[in-house]
Amino acid sequence: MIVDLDRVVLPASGLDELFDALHVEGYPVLGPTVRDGVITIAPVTGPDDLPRGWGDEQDAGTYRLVRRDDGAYFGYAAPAGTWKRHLFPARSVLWRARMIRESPVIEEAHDEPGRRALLGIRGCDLAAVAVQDRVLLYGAHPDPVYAARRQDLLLVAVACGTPASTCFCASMGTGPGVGEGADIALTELDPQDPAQHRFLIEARTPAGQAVVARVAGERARRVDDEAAEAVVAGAVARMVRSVDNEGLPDALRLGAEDPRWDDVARRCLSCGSCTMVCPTCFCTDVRDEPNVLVGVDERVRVWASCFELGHSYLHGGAVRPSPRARYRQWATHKFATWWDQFGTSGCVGCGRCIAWCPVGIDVTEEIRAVASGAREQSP
Amino acid sequence: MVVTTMAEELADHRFFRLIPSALRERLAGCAKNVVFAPDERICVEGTHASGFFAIRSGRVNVGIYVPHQGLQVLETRHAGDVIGFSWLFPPYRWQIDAVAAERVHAIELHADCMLPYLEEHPSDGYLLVRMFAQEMEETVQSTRLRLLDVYGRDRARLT
Amino acid sequence: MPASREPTAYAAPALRRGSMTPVPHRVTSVVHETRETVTLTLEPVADRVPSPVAGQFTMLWAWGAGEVPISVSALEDDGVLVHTIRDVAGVTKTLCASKPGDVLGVRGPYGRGWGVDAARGRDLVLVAGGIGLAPLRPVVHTVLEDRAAFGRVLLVVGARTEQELLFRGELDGWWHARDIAVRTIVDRSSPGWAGSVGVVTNELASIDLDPASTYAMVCGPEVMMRVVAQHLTDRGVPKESIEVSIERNMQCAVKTCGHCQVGPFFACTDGPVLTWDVVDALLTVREL
Repeated sequence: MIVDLDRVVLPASGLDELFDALHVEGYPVLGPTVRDGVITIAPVTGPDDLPRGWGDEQDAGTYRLVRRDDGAYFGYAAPAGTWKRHLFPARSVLWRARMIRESPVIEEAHDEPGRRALLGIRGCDLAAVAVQDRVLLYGAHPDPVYAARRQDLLLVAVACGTPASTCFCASMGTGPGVGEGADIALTELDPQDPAQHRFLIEARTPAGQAVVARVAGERARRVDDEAAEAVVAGAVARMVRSVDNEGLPDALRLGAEDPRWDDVARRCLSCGSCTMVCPTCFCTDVRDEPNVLVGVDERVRVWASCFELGHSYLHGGAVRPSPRARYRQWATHKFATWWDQFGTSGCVGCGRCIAWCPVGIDVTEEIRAVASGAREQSP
Repeated sequence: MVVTTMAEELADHRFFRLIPSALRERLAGCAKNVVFAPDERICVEGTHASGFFAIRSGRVNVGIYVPHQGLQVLETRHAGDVIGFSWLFPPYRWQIDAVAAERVHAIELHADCMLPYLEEHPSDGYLLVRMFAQEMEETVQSTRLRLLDVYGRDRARLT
Repeated sequence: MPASREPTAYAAPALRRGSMTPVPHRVTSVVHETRETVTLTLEPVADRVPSPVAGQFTMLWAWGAGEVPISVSALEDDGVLVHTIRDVAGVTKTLCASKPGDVLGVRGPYGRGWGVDAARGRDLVLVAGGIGLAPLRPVVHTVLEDRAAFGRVLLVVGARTEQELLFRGELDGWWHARDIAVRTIVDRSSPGWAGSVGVVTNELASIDLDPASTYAMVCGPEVMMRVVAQHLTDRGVPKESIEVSIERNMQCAVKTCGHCQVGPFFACTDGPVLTWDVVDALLTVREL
């Protein structure tokens, strides 16, 4: 249930107050910033670090930054970088073991970054955090690394008014507005008019309220609410891609031998880029890295991908040796079996996999083709 | 002691159960009961394939004799199985040795008796040959599975 | 499989640290079962792990080598663990080279075990191929402790050769005496072998079964499990009454690394024991 505890309006020129409030409440801030030709996630200390005046153009196999003609702080779709990297690092040391008097002595690694604020997280990425919570936090064996980074996290989400052509969050039910799980929800209003450029700020939790209380904003008026709704409605209307989730899990299961999988396999490089940029993918390799010289055996966990040939290695071979089987595994897991395993879809519709696929494979097209084939076969 | 006819004994045997009783009666006329002591030879590779054996009880080892190594047992046949396909086609010679692993009761059916009848009655011939083909398929499949060496270190790899 | 639907609600349980940290256990005995298979008995150095049930596995760790999933091959008290390991190089080679006194690490036990309770009052057919006898041995021990609770009990064991049969001492004598029928069959005979030669289905074919009251547990290479399960199904045993133990690449064993997935199931958590009605549907899709 979404509860708005405090709703204030802050002029865009006063955005530094929000940073101050976060600072006073003890939250170092991670947020979007322009770096290396993309918008990525990094520590940000003030409004000047944000991608002000930048937008993005994304399509299959395409991403580029474009200059906006206004000073919008959040005038892009989804950042190229993921928040996942900060909650679920690409490489973690879990423990270190030494042999002492011929017995291994294990010391768990503790990595507690403390409280942090994620500023500017979109509805899709917010939903992705909730998806990963189910995988890494709510199972029988909560993951200590993720848990340590997840606790005391303040989620300052931003509604999206500028979807890219790769976005399909609306059909996945994760955006473009800000859904559940945010502590604070921002909507940027009227960036074209410097006199009207402002933020509607909604505190959704007591932690969010504590921050918003420190911002000298005016009470939100009806016109602000309507403007915010129009931003989201406009984004929905401009969204080009979509996924029809109705009956999709069954359709993908029935379509396991659909010739479309052969077709996509001819294009797919099995490079795994999609899994690297996906905010919900969670597969890892867990392995020992012994250093015989210093006598330490480290247990590390690194990001892995179901596209790797060795991912399903068993008894001298792979269970899924063909690229066809691996693409099918990824798409079917993301849109079908994830429901069985964790009670939600694995996809949040951020579109990164479409943009960052080097050969421009559009997963929404692939699953649509398989699903329509399966639906034709079974009444 | 219960006295049964040969036809009734054939009907009791798994291999003949699905054969029409008329054909079974005919085959009964070509059949006789035999008993083998443990380690007694049932057939010898290279000799004339005089017919086939339907095992009623006891295990039979089937294999190939290798000089200096003796009989290499390649498969074991149990009650309900049959031994001997080579009587059906040229060169009408046993391809294997079969030896009783323990006391074996079997029914021996003679080729010289069956073949002329089957030639003249092709529909009966078809039924019987089809039963044999099914037995052969099961034998081939068992052989394939062992060729895969599923318990081997590389678990069912051929290369 | 569900149609799309609203996400189900979850509540976060209390956090537990250390699910990836092995618990030290000392090797107290090493038995060489065959040339390449070893049974290790492990005792806790300090902390124990929960007692496993038949069909479960632990992640066994050797310092500097790594971890592998190994099924328990006997059930003991007081935190003692028994594992039978086949040397297939890598970590298993290191584990098989253990000496009494060595300290290994244990995580677990994990997984869904054999449905022994479901088999009570029924005829139990156990079919083991190769190292597959190890995860089934605890079932036999459990049955022997409460023999009257089960109908006919049959164990069919297949192996490559006589030299690779596990637990010969128990197979040869003790189980016969306790009213469990034991049949062994080898792929290839060797000098002096007086038993059967063939595949386990050859042996099964010669045994009478009452399909309606049969409960089967099958463990071995996947090819063997498929063939046996199909044979039992063809004879009228319901698929839900046939259990198999599936194997997949396992690294975390706690449903977070993703490697062990087969269809919607995680072999480490939803398995490794699953019923044939479920597995049959999965395995008909090649390379699932």
